[in-house]
Amino acid sequence: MSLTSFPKSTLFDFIRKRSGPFDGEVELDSKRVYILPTKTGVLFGVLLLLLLLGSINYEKSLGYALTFLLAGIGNIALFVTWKNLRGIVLKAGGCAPVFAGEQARFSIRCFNPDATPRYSIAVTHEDVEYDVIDIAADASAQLHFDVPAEKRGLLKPGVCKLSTEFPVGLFVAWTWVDLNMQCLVYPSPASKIVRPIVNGDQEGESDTGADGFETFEGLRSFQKGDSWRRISWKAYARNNELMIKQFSGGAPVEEWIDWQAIPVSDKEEKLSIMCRLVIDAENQKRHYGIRLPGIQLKPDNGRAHMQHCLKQLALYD
Amino acid sequence: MTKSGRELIAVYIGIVLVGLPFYSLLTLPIYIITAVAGIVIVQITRQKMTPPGRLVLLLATLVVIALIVYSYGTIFGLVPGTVLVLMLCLLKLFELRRTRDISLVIFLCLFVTASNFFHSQSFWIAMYMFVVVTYLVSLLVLVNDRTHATSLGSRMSLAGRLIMYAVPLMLVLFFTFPRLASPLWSLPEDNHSSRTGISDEMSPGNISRLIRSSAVAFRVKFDGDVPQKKDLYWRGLVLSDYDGKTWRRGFVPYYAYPNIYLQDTQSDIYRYTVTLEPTRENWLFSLESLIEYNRSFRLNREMQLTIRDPINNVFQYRLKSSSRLVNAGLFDEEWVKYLSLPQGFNPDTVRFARQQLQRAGGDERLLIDNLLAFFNQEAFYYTLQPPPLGRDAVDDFIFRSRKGFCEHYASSFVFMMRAAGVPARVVVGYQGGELNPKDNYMIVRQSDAHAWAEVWVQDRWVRVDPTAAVAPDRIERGVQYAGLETSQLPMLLMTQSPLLRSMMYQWDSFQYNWNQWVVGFDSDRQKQLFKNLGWGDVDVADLVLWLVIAMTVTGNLIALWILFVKHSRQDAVQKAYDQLCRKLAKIGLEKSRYEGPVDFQRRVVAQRPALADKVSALTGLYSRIRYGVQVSEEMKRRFVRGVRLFKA
Repeated sequence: MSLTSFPKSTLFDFIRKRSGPFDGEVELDSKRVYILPTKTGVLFGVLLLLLLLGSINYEKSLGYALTFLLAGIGNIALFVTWKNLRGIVLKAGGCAPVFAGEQARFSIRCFNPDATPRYSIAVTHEDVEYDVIDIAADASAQLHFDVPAEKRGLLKPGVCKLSTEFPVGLFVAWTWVDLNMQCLVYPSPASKIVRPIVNGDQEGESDTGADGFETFEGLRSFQKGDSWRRISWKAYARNNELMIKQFSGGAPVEEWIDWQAIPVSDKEEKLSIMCRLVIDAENQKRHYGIRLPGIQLKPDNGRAHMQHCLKQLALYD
Repeated sequence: MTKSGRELIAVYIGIVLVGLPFYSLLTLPIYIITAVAGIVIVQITRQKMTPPGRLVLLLATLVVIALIVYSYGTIFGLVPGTVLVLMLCLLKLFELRRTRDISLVIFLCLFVTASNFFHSQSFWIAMYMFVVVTYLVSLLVLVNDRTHATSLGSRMSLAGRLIMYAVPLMLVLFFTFPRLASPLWSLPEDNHSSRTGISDEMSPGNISRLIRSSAVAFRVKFDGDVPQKKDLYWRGLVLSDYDGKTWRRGFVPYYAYPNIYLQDTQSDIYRYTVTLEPTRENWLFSLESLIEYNRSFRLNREMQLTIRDPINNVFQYRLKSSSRLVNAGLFDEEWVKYLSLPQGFNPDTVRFARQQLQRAGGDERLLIDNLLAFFNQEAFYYTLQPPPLGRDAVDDFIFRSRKGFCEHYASSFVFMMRAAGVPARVVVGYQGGELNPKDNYMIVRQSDAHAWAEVWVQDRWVRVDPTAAVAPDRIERGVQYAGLETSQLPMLLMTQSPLLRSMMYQWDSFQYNWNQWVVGFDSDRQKQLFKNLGWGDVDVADLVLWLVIAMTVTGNLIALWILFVKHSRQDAVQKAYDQLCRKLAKIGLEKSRYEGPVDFQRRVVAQRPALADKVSALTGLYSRIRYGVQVSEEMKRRFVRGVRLFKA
């Protein structure tokens, strides 16, 4: 905790109100940039006082001059430090979804509209400093900070602090800002599957298209997990490269990952297992759909589908 | 873990810069420590050496302290203390852990910079102070530049700009901050600094050393009449005790009144202001005979003007002197004092003086004239390199070597007077002065140092200068015309070139004003400044008011300038984009103010498909520069070049 930690007390509601949450862009205007001396700055003040006392006592005119020059520099540093932060335009950057237990990485886009560069701007979240950047004149840069995603759902990092002590470290200028960012947190995938819970809808059909009823479509590169029975040995003889024969026309097997079918009573555990099943099914290029009470996503595959499914699992309540 | 190598080296250079002005006060061990520390730092930086551990540093600290005690006898006091701080800063370099450690070292360096002013407050030292402060501030920038994005040049220019903005605030504070008339508390200053100037004893060689120095002793501005050069005897000290070798000050009862009375209203009155360079002594120089002086000064029976504390800063005082004064009589103790001679010294001279008194028939005036004629007619020479004299120095001088300068003549003359039973004493001070036509003030240099005699004749002290009998040009025109070999005098004094002389006067005049308005700026000067500006008499409360007003105005103006005036050295990218828009406007495609670059691009593509490729590419690049995450200088250059080559 320090003076520049976000105040928790209701006394500081006026500051809390100023800090957001904001949607879209926020300009760090004069109201939102605070400034205080650092510990180094206080030490500098002590130095000035000693120099002044010495100059008075020994009647050294140049001592006065040095003292006043340094005092002037301190005063100018106040303005320059404050200016280093003021006027930056912030915008929430994206945040890739993570699984619970991982670190969510948030990013903030900082645009410097001025013709002078800005230096050494740090981002702090929950009193931990994550990133320091410079922003060139008339350009943008990105700040990152990590937040541990403890449970599934939408993670809101809340207020973070942008601060700078540049150029001389005598003052710290900072702002608190909540950019209303959020990160989708998927359930943490269960580590092992209790037992296969595949509920084929069209029971009796064989599970792969490997038996060659379909029409030949073409060749693609061999990938880990492909069946060796589909390797095109002719192509291997020609190119010395393992190729896989691809077929189409056969109806892919569809499977359902079903809330009801999971024999665990705890809701979070259930979701965690479903998450693992979705990932595995996607990795094995199967067609899968999910059924949650009141929600049903038709079997399909591909990254977008997986993300869609995981999102449902993340937000289910 | 220590800080990065470039920070170490940069701070090391800072410490060396701060220590440089002290070079003459440092000793060989200190130079060696500094050099060793430098070598170790470079080795650590090149990773050829691991930083020393705690034990080594502790030992090093003890060694440093021991060497300082060895060099200076103590670790306390101004010079040893300053050196100690600098050396500890050097050692601290080996265990810098946080940014704040470096900041602390930098602050200590700033403190040491201030201690410079105990030795000199010259213009050059002030300029050097600006250099050092700029460098130290750039070090602060270095440690606070956390992404290592700045170069030395940009840090120096940033520091320079901070200082440039700070200078107006400094000036306001300097002139309006209320100066106290007396110090807050009294602390002795130590005496390590070298002194030049008249000292309170005269032994062979003292004055000839001074004469070789062209340093300024003081400057004098006369209001009204200026005395003739041959009458410019700046009295410093009266030396009345002689032990056969050295003349020293005698005891002067502090309770006795000054021994002077104004004789008549016809005498010439001179009013003048003396600006004295620091002497680290507490006596002042004045023309005889003082009739007005600051009440805090003390004038004793020997007409010696003193103040309470040694003069460690440029010091200014106003005096009024009259050319004609009479003295009251001498006390009995004073008769004894001004007649006493060391027993068993210079028997020939004693005999000679008594003969001369008989010849003059007991008339003191005639005796003096005869002795001066003796100096004038016998083969006496004025030279700064007299042969060494033996135990009976006066005998040796008068009857054998006959080569010497003012101190020999004054000393032997007073000796002879006392031997003849006439009270006499030696006076040391300065004689002469050079008028600076630039500002119409008089420069009195160390080379004008002089010694002469005062003799009690017919109930008053009379000044007698035996040197004038030997080398009249010394008195009437100055030491450079006294027929000395030129190699014995400073070059500066000897130059005849009008250009050089005029440059010298110009420069001296600058130093005079520097002393007046900067170094000697005290509470009196401050009052005078405000009076000159037409604000009448100011007291501390007025000054505080002025301080607040001036600081508020200046501070706000600077803040406005820094914070709100667009320092629109508008960037090249924006200029180029505007240029692109102008080129498109010429063919009838004008960008509306509400149109973003991308919307504008779409409209251009729709209306002029032929330009689609180029405009899209340029707009894409522009958006990436403006809103992108990774913006390189190369992209900006590419964009500017693209726009230049673009034809609508």
